[in-house]
Amino acid sequence: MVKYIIILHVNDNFNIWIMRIEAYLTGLLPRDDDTIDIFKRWERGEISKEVFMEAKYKIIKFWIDLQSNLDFEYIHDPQCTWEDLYRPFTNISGVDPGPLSRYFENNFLFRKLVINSIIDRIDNIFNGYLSYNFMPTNRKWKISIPGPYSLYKSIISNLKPDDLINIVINIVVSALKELYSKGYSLVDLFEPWIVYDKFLDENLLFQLYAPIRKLGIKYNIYTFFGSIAGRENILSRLGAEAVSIDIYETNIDNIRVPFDRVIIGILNARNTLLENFDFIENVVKKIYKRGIINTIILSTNCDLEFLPFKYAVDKADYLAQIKRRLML
Amino acid sequence: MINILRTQEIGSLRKPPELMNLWKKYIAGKTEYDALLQNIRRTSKYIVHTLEKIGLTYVWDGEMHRWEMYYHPVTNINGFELAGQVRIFDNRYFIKGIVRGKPKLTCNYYLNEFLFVKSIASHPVKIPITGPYTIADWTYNEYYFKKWSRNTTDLKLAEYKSKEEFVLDLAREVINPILKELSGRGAERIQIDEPAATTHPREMDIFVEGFNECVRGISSTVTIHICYSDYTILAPYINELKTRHIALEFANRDLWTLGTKNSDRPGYKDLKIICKEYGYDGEIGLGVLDVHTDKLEPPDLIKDRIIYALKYVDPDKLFINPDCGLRTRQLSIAFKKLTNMIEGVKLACKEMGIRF
Repeated sequence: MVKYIIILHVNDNFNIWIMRIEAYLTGLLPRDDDTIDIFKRWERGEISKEVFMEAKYKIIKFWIDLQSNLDFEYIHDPQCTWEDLYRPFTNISGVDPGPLSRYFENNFLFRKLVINSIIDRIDNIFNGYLSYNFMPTNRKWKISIPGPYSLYKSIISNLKPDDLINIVINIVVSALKELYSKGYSLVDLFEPWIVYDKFLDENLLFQLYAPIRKLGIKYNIYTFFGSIAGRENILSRLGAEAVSIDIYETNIDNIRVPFDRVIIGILNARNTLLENFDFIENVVKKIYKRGIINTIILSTNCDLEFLPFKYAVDKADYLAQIKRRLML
Repeated sequence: MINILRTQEIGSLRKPPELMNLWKKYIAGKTEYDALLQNIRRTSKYIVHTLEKIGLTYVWDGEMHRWEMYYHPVTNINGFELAGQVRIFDNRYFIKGIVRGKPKLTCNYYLNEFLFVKSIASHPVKIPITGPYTIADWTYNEYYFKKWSRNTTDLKLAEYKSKEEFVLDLAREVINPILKELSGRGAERIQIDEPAATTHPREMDIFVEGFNECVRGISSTVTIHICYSDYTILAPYINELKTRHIALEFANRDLWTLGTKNSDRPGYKDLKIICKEYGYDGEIGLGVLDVHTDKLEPPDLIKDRIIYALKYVDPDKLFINPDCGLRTRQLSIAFKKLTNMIEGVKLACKEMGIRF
């Protein structure tokens, strides 16, 4: 059953807020210490497949149960078994893992994708990577994958740009169809490059999104590691259900919010510091006042995987608390 | 002109299983430091002597005295707490800390290690230490961020100001006193490891100021090692760093095919930017071994990488080294890679008429 929350909030100045507040997680979620150890031992060939699979299922189930208990609007696939956001795409014949590269301004390295030939066949991209077997059937599911612009930027290729654009479109379209067919009703397209890139290639961006918009599959656009300032209009024209703002990168006093549904990356997934509630309330108010918003979605600014397990769990729990307190 | 190529290891090597287990027990509080130290010293001797036998000009003991390059300083500086494991890539993790108070040095956490390695080595030693920018960047900045983020919505600015204060406190109150003592006790060559240097392009001035504060008043040669970074971000600042030696990773981004043309050696293209466009004329530590693969670089490939680099760097200013510490490889693989490296250096020297 779809659950909506409509709140009437009277603040200190007797202004009335009417909006829906939702909350959910996004991106790759971290493993606990035991699971980290099991994965290492599996890689070294020290444990049986049975032991490995048991540990894998345990951590997946933990994150799913936590989200169910915290009553988030969507249960996010924990993606805690993924090596990085891009690795599943190496399941596609003709896509290879490239050299280790820094993932934006983080002490985290990922493998870019290497594509040097036209790809004829794309299917079962996420084979072995999805947790749909464990997702509760009475809830809506979502998952994160790279958006087409960020995917394009993360490929090493000697192909002609037009050929590569077509390949990226085919990959993202196939990925969205596959995820939809498995039961994911919402996909977070991770697009840090849209806000990180100093010189955004607008033509490329709209070219990449045109076929994706036509699919009729719901997607959010998550921006992080950069400010949306100056790119608000562009983001509003990409057909997303909601667009996210990383408030740790964006000075909210300097932006417009031309979205009716906005995701606020209110909790910093790159710092253990637990945010002060008054600060959060102030940010939510300011963003609300800057647009014609009917729904605010509270989330982390990026993957919780940038935090150790314990702190990630605390932040997830705090996210649910914030939602409840804002609705008082 | 010396007209000679010199070689070095970058720092860390993998601990043998027995030592690794002892370290784990020690961290878990299940063994005494004396028991650990005995094994450390035995392993340290073995490594130093092996590296000397392989033929490296400058040696170190693979950092056997440290659990890990970040864990070692943050567990020895007041103001830090450990938060837990965070992924670096794939199944590799490190234990990340939180700064909850102003950092304060309680003891020189490199001194005993230095004195021991110096006492057992017959080759010159180079001690690697973790730099202030990297320590700060790899730490959850609670103490300073809380201070700078009060009453502002410009959290990006708050992050910058809090990082700046954190790095400079570490440089002035922790690293500089360590370097002064090491220098006074005979450390002739000290390498500051700053793998995080170019992580945040807009913080490059913080990184440079932090490094320069570390080396203030130090008479020893202080070098710097940077890896897995964007060197086009580093290049404009390289001449502002008060060092004459910078060791960089290149092999990871290069091809495995032979050749000395630009198209053969894409991984080394930034040498041109650093040395020609920005006019850096100090020493370069040239990474010729990819530390993330067991595959052994053939000596001919290493030779070609060196010959390519010699287009931009004089032989007396060129040091040959792995991309980074080889701790991700089994010790036996690391030694084989280093042996090939020396063979490659010999081949390059022979072809270019350089002494080795």
